[in-house]
Formats: sequence, C-alpha cells, structure tokens
Amino acid sequence: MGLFSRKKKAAGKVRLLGHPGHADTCKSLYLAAEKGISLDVELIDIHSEQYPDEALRSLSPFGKLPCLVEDDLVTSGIAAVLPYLDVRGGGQSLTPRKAQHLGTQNYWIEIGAREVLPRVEALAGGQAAQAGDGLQRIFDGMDAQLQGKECIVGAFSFADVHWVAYIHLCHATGQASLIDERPNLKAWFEHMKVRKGSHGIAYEALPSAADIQRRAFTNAA
Amino acid sequence: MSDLFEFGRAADPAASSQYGASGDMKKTQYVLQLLGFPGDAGTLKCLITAVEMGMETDCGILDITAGAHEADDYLEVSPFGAVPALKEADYIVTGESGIMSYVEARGLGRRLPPKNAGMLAAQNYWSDLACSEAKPHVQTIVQQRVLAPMQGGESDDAAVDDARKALAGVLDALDGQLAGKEFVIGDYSFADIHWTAYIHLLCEAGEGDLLDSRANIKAWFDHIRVHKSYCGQDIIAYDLLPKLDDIKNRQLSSVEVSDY
Repeated sequence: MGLFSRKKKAAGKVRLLGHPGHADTCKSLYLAAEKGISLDVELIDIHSEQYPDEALRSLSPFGKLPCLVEDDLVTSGIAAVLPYLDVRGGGQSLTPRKAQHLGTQNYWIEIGAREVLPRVEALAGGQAAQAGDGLQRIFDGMDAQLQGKECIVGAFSFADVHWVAYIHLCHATGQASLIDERPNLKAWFEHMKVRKGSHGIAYEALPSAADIQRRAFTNAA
Repeated sequence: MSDLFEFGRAADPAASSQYGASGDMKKTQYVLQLLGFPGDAGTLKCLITAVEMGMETDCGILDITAGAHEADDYLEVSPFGAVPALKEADYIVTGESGIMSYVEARGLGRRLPPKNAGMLAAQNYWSDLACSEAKPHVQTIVQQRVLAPMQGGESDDAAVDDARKALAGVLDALDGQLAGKEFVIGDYSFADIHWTAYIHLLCEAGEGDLLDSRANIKAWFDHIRVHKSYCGQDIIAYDLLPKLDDIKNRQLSSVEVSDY
C-alpha cells in the first residue's frame, strides 16, 4: 500500500432482490453495472399470489422492490437503492450539482414514476391494452426535452437511469414504435445502449426480452 | 393567457421589500414564487424546505378544489399537471420532488442530504414510505374531512375509517424508527420534511388522535413544532404551515427571511 493510498472496505457482494420485468429492478441493475458493483441477484416473483411473502417482508416490511442487502445494511425501494449504489460505487456522482439540473432531473423522475412506470409494468405483465395511449403524450414531452441533448439534463444523471429502464421495457415488450416515432427519444436511447461508462456498457446488464418473458435473470452484473 | 406567477413581490415591482430597494442586496438574488394549495402535502413540503434552507418565497394559491391545476394556463406551466409549481427568474419547475431538490440546492448553509451511503438510503427509504404508504390515505382523510365540506359535500366517515386503518402499519413503523431519535434518521433530513407535512395535515383534519398511542411520533412532532430553520435563520417552518382555517380560506404564508 502506497503512502497516500486509503484503506478500502473489502468489496463484498451486494444482494439484490427483484424481478426482470420490474422497472425499478432494471434501474438498479443498470446503475450497479454503471458503477461497477457486482450483484448477487435473486428473483422475487411479483406475479405470485404469495408476493410479498414473509421472507421478503422480513427484509422489506412493506414489500418494496428492489431490496438491497449488503452486510448489515438492508434497504428497499428505488428511491433508496439508486442513491445508495451511486455513493457506494464511488466516482462521479449522478446527482447534478447545478440546482436547475437537479430540479429538472427530479421533475422527470417524478413524471416517470407517476405516468410511465404503471403503464410500462402493465406492458411487462402482458397487459398492453392497459398501457394504452397514455404513453404517447408523455413520450412526446420527453422527446421535446431531449431536443439537442445527449442526456436528459446536462450530464448523465439519475433521470437517464430511470428512463433507460422504461424505454428498455417498452422495447422488450414489443412497443418499439413508441420510441422509433420520436427522433430525439430514439437517438438518446441508441446512445444509452452503447454508452460506455468506466466499467463498460451498463445497458448490457439489463434483462433481455427472453429474460422478462421467462421471468429469469441471466446477464446481471 | 394569464400569468399565474403575477403575485407577491412580482406583482409589485415598486414594493419596498423588493431586493436591492434599500440598497442592500440579500444573499439570494431572486425571490422564489411558489404556486400551491394549503391542503396539498407537496406544497407544504416545498414551503418547509424553503424555510429550512432560508430561501425567501412568495406563495400564491392554485385552487385545486376549483380545478385550477387542470386549467389550460396551469398546464402550460406544468404539462402533466404536477403540483405545486415554483418559479425563480426564468426557471420554472413543478412537482414536489423537483422543487424540494431545487430549493435545497439553492439554499443557504449545509446541504440536507446525508453524504454517507447508508444514511442517504435511510433518508430516501423513509421519504419513499411517506409518499407511497401514507400519502394516499392522508389525502383521503384531507379530502373527506376538509376539502369535501369546502366544496359543499359531506365527509364520508367510512372512507376515513378505512384510511385510518390503512395508516396504522406505516405509522407504527415510523414510531419504531423514531425510538431514541431526535429526527427520523438521526439528523434532520428530507425524511422529516415529508413526514411533517403528512402528520400536520392529519392533525389539522382532526385525526391527531392517531398519534396518541404512538409516543415517539408525538415527541418527534412536538420537537418539529419548535424546530428552528436548518440553515440557522431565526424562523420555525412549522409556524408558517397552514392551519385548518387557512386551508378553508385558501391561504398560504410566504417565507420572509430578515436576519441576514
């Protein structure tokens, strides 16, 4: 160890409980890959009648997913898991420093959670009819936001992580036209698919359409 | 199209309280304008954040009981109808999440979000529980006990009873979390702001007895009522929160910071 090196906490495995068709699980897989955090992923069947069962509730009392376990720390829900992975992984934080970028990032995260998440999860659950036309108007809004931009707000941020998962699930469930019809959204998504972070291409950690269909994880970090 | 932000000092450029009018500029360059509703928890959270961060804020009313949040002029500002809305100079952001983080980042003093990963996760976990597990039921209670009578309707007691029962689990969890703690995760954080808004609205809606059997929440809330601004200003956020009559009269207090 050099004179100026810091003693690092031994990097243990982080357990992540989730489901491949669950958008918030996808966001966590994506960010973990972006940050180079190795995950032990465990499947929770959100379509089971027993969900959330006692075992999950012992870790996540309100049945929130994804649920993350590392040593003594247990937390759940996307609002907690993503910032934890961001700080835990080190490097450049995804939280914008500029107040306006931070406000706009969180605006698009809130709109995504309120307007897009329920519809995308209906798609992933095989209920295309319930997703309906609602996504069109919201994707129009995001298409306008992305005009002339590489990322949703300034640099790569949490907003991109949330929306990559939504758009990926739309693609994986046969709704690619929703993206292809909107040039800015399409260009941003193409960029996200090949975007190389310091630990490789995070997009590759997302579950494939086949994973989502057969409810299994094969390519998690 | 009307200018929804034509209120407060923005509506009176000659006001003596306008920045720089006395020759002394304050630390903040602009006054924030918050457009919200006194019975809306998100509006209360933004107001609390402004006080905690020492940001002067003029408040205007968006009367959601009259559908103002669905009107064309508001949808111009907030295309997906997110409430409340905040303006500073030419920047507008809507929805509680965007506004709270913006105001916090613009504010004075120490930052609210913990730097430690575990504490940050805890803050966000408890904030998320407030929004996902408490918000729908608090909204039901406020709607039935306060807003429905304001709109000439009657309170649905069965809906209130159901909401009270549904709140029991998350209130018990919060009570457990607060054991031995001054604030939700130890230090003051966004989690306290979220819970302050919901507990305050429950109390104003006449359901404060939900705290009677939860001694830790009661002690925390008593502490919140006298908690001085996080940034060190001599203001107490709780003093500016709308009381029942303010909600009925559709009134919001503005945030004024005087001890620079």
